[in-house]
Formats: sequence, structure tokens, C-alpha cells
Amino acid sequence: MQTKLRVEKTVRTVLLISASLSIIIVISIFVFIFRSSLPAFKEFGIRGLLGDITWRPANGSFGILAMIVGSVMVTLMALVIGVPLAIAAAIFLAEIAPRGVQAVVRPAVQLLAGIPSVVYGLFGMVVLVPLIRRIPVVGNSGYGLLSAAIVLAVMILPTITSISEDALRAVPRSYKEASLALGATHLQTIFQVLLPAGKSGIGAALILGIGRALGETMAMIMVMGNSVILPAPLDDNPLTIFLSQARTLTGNIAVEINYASGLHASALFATGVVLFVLIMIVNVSAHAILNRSTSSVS
Amino acid sequence: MNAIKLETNAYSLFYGKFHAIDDISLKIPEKQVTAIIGPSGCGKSTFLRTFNRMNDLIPGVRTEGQALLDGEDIFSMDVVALRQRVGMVFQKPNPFPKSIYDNVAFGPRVNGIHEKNVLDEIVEISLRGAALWNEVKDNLGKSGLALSGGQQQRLCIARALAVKPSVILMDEPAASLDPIATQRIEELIRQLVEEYTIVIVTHNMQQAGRVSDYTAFFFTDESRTGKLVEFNLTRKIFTNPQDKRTEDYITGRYG
Amino acid sequence: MSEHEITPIETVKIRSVSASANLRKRQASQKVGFGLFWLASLVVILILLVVVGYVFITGFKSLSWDFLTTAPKGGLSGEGGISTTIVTTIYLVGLILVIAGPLGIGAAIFLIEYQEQTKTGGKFVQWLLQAANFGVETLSGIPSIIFGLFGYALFVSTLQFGFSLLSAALAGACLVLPTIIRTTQEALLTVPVSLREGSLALGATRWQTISKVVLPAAIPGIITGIMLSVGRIISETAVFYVTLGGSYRLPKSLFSGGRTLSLHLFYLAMDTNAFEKAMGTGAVLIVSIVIINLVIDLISRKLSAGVRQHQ
Repeated sequence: MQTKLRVEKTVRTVLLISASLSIIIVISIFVFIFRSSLPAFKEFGIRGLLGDITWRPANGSFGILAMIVGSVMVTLMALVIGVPLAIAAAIFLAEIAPRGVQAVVRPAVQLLAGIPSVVYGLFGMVVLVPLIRRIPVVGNSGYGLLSAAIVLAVMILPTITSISEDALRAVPRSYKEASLALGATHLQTIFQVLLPAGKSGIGAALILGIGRALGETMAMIMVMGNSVILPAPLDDNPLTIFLSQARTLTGNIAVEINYASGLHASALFATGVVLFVLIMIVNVSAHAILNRSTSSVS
Repeated sequence: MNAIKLETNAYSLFYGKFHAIDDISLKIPEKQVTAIIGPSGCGKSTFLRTFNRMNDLIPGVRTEGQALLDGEDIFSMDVVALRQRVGMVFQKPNPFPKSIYDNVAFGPRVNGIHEKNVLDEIVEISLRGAALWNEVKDNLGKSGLALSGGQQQRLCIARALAVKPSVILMDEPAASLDPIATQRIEELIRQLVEEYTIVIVTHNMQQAGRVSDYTAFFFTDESRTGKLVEFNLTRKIFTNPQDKRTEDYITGRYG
Repeated sequence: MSEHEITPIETVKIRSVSASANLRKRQASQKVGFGLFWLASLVVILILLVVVGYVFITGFKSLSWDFLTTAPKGGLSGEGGISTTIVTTIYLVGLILVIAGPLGIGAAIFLIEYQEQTKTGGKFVQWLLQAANFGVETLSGIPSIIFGLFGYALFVSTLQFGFSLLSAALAGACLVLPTIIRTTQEALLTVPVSLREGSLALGATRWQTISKVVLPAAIPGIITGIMLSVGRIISETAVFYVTLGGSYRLPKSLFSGGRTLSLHLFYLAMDTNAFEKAMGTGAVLIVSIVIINLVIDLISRKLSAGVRQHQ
């Protein structure tokens, strides 16, 4: 009896320690990254780091702004390209596709989700980049925001599609019946009843998609060109900004951390902090928007 | 004698292999309340849903025989147009997660009406018609889901009225309501019948007796296929039923 | 009533005149709309076929038994095969599972089976349960490069493990920990309460109940979680890029560096012009992921069949 009790107590303690690991790791990550970034922040100040567009470690310039713009732009572009397609696919799967077609399209989406990011990056390098290079603009190397945005759009599509499909399927059937009984067409029912009713789930899907996009690293390194410049139009046509090369916050960290030291390394940790904050801003504001619209009336 | 609004001839419906209802021939008069009563599982709701083709939503459904609205074949008309002429109120109130105004205006809006003053008018008339206007007129922006159960059901009725149908189908409309709310719905039905043809499925015999002009009695045996047993003026069904099964059901000897 | 004085009858008249026109317009837009939806799904399928198809067709040329069993020899044209990278990947997967598996399963057990402690366990335990759940949520939202950065800061630098299997495994374990915890939690939740009650009623202790009754019943779900983590590790690159080093040689010890398959693909693509070999590596990666997904599907199907049996 005594040993049984002791075993129980030991087990409980061991399990408790395992459970606390998750929060310990989170705190450690925060502590380490923030601490390592402090020298850079102390040296340049927040405005110095975030407001400077010049990142040239050799000269002692550690402006992160160009990377912030790079990350934000490529994410926005990927959303513009990918979200309509993803939600259309979700609506298709939830409301329109016959069973047999669902059985083909849904596994296809799942397979797209499983392909490693470096494979997408490779495909981007070998197929997309030469294709984009064909666009007759001086200075267009094919590598840049557009290629990266297309690759990123394909990568976040499966996430947004599956979660949005679940959200649409979760809408109570009675809403659909009521709408059809009032003489609305199926299409009208989808847009005026089902999508609004499913919007918190779809919103969650978008947040996850944005988080994934901001966090993507290797594929971005492979197709974006990695020039540390503020994206700018390549000639008189302002649209050519989309062909500009760029570097993401994630790419910045990955490409330079292996050989950086001192202030340089600290600035890379600062880049990590900025990435963190950016993702948090996205999450918090998205939750705020979602909460606001579910409490008021659609 | 009223004209015939809805009619079925030798109408049967199958869910895949399951024979749900068999050989129903029924003439439903205009601007009267016709109740469909019978034990549970005898196909009453399935039959009701024929008239606005809500059964089309179920995969594998097959029908035989005819169903007519104003003499026209229901299955040949465009289903959307049909549902504008035949409205439905469901057993559990199902207002959309939208404002009261947007709930009632939904029907007219999907039918192409967008001018604000026309919609305002339709919303007020419909809410008055459902005896809900005075309770919500200062609060049209409130969510439909924030109303009580009885109010939600009257909102659904207003929503159906806004499309200006000529028939209203009601599938056990008071089943989930308390007695007071139920009474208000029943009073409403007696008011609405002056303008609309109403067909109501109910498992509450007393309700059928209170509210309807005509009654159809459906029955089923071990085959679980629903059949029409008797159809007549309500007072005749309740005082002088022709079929023994009807008499057994009315007097409570069955289920 | 408004000044405009539209009576209900007039409204009906207005409506019936344009009702059929409106209906035709709506039916036409529905046809167009549905056509666009079909087009969207077609595009999705096309994307899949193009990407996977291209990788396989181009990579097929370099796929051979030799390719799989020879070590890479480096150089601008990427000589050699991928044998060492396959081994390194297997080593890394094994290490990470050894570290994260027991810890993740243990954490999930505590979070689920000791849940009543939220009320009875005293302030610290209550706080811990909340914090642990918050920790899992947060961890699953952190981008992998941050895990890499953390791994670099803590394991490679501070603890001086250097670029090594050890550093990479520890960082990778942090990465997959939330996945293992979450899926194990779900697996534990599918075990009916009646099973636990039956065991306890027979006089078994809580740990005996967990180890002999609950865990065995939850095994399929737990294995699903493990397989998901394996898939994640194989696909993952950023974390290992900054903790594993880039050597294409076979790691000799926990402190040696190396390359996983996905890292090797990255290096081939960026440092050499051996695109066909990169594609070949990609093909191997895709095949592995497909196999893992199939295994997961099989397990889930057996899992739901088993649950149905018990019900």
C-alpha cells in the first residue's frame, strides 16, 4: 500500500513537470530572444532599428524596415492571390461538389498541405522564376515579390480551404432551409446566409493563413532574391514594384544567423522580436474584429 | 365552396428504397386552414414539404404521381418561383443571425427589392401581420436571436409573409413553444387564414380541433409507409369519423 | 404610413411584373457563379498536378538505387546521392521522438487525467494547468524559424552543443511538442469515462488505470500524433537550417552536424546547379509524406471503426 501511494505521488510529479514544460519553453523562448535582442535595441533604439531601411552589417547599419515591408507586402500579395481561390474551393467542397468530386478535391487539398516548403521553393525557382522573368521590365530577374507571393499563396491555400470548409459545414442546416424556403437561390443562400453565418470560422482560417505566411522562411529565401532593399518600382510603372526583389524578416534571420556575432547577431534577434510582435498584432486585431462583428448584428 | 388551392393525385414519395408515403390524393381548399394529423412517423411532414419541394434537398428522393398548385404541376415549375408562392414556417424557430429588420427583409431582398422605403413598408406590414410589430417596432436592429421562443416564431412567420406567398405551410409551428405562446400562434393562424391558405401539420389533436377548418388524417402500419386515411371538415372528423383508425386515434385509443 | 403610399396590393403588382425577370437574372448569375466555383476547384487540382508532376517527372531521371545509397560528394554540380541525408533524417526523427514523445504524452496525460485538480489541486496546480494550456496554444503559433533562433541561442551557443544532432533534436522537439500534446489529449478524450470508472471501481489506482486501461485504448490516436510529428520533422527545414549545420557527411555522434533530406534539397538548389538531383530529393520527400499520410488515414479509419465497435 505504501509503495502504491509512493508510485502515485512520483508519477504525478513527473507528469506535472512534463505538463509545465510547454509554458517553460514558451517563457524561455521569450526570455532568450528578447534578451539577446537588447544590445541592438539599446544601441539603436526602437525607432532606429524599425525606421532605418539600410541593413548593411559590414557598415554597422541594422535597419529592419526593409524586411518588415518585404514580409508585409509578400503576405498581402499572397492573400490577394490565394484567399479568393481558397474560399471558392471551400464553398465548392461544402455546398456544390457532388460526393464523387469531393472525394477527389479534398484529398488533393490535403496533399497540397503536405508538400514540404522547400519543394515549393524549388518549384518556384525552376518554373515560376523563369516564367516571371519573361515579363519585359528592365531589372526584372524573375526573383522577387511576385514569384514569392504566388508560391506563398499556394502554401496557405490548403489551410484556409479546410478550415473554411469546416466553418461552412458547421452552419446550422435550418438557416439554409429557411433561406431556400423563402425563395432564395442556392447561390444567394451561400452568399447572404451561409458565409455571414460562418464568418468567425472563416476569420480564424484567415488568421492561421496569415500566421503561416508571415512565418514561412525557406521558400521565401529561394524565390525572393534576398536583396536587402526596400521594395520599389523597377521603372516608371508603379506596378513594377511587385517585381522587385526583397527579403522577409524570416529570411533575414535564417540567412545570416549562422555567421553573425556581436551587434549583428543581436540585430537578428531583434528581427525575431519584430516578427513576433507582427504576428501578435495580427492575432489580436483579428480577434478584436471578429468579436466586434459577432456581438453586433450582421 | 372554395376553389382548390393545392392538390395531389396518387402521390407517392420514396427515400431511396424506403416508401415514405403512398398514393395520396387530396384537395386542399383555398383560404382555409387544413390540418394534417396522425401518429409520428406517418409521413405528415414529408407530405407537407412536397408543396414547396423542400424534399428536393434530400439526396435519393423519388416521387410518383402529381402535385399541383393552382392547377399547375409543382414539379414542372421553377422551384425558386414555387417557393415564393408557397412559404414555410418550421418546427423549431430558425431566424437568421441577423437583425429583426434584415430577417424580414431577407425574402424581398433576394427577390430584387432594394429601395429602402419599399422595404420599410414591407417589414412593417409583415410584422403587423404576424402580430409582432408593437413588440419590436422600436428595436428593429436587435438580433432576431435575442427574442423569446414565441417571438422568434412570429418573426419567422413575418419573414414568410414578407415574400407575399398565397400558401403558408406550417410544420408543427408551436411544438417548441410554451402554452401562452402557442395560444398566440393559434390566434394568429385564425387571422391569417382570411388572406392565406394554411396547411398545418400537428401532432396535437386539440390544436387541430381549435385551429383548422379541414383535417386530413394520416396513418401508417408496420411497413412505415404513410397513407391518407380520411379527409373532411374538421368538425365532421372529430364528431363523426368514417374510418375506425381515425376514430381510434381521435379517442386516444392509439398512441 | 409613408407619403409614397404604396399599398400592399400595389407592392404585389410591382413584384409580379418584374418577378420573372428577376428570377431569370438570378438563375443566370447562379449559373455563372457555380461555373466559377467549378473553375476554382479545377485550378486547385491543376496546381497540385503541375507541382507534383513536375517534381516527379524531372526528378525521376535522377532517382535510382545508386542515388539513394550513395553519399553526396559536394561540389558545384552536386555529385553523389542522398544516402547520408536519409540516415541523418532518420536519426533526427528518432531523437526528436525520444525526447518529445514521452514528455508530450506525459504532459497530455496530466492535462487530461488530472483535470479535477483545477478545483482541488491547490492554487499552484490550478495556475499550472491554465498556464500549460496557454503554453501549448502559444507554441503552436510560433513560426519555425523562431524555434531555430531559440535553438541556436540556447543549444548551439550558450550550452555550446554547437551545430549538431543534439541541438537540432532539442529545437525540433520544442517544435513538435504542441502537436504531440494536442493529439494525445484528443486521443485520451475519446476513451469513454466508463472505462476509467470501471477500473477504479475494481480498486486500481489512478496510474494503474491510466497505464493499463486508458493509454492502451488511446494508442491509435497517440500514434496518429506521432506520425503527424514525423511528417512535420521531415518537411521542416528552417529549424534545422540554423541548428544542424550543413555538412553532407554522416553524423558520427550526437555532436556531429549533418543534413536532412529537406536541407539537402535546399543546399542543392541554392549552392549547386544540380536541379535534377534536387528534384529527385523532392520526389523522395513527397513520397515519404504521402506514405505517412496514408498511414495516418489508415490508423484514423481503424480508430473510428474501433470506437464504433465499443459503442
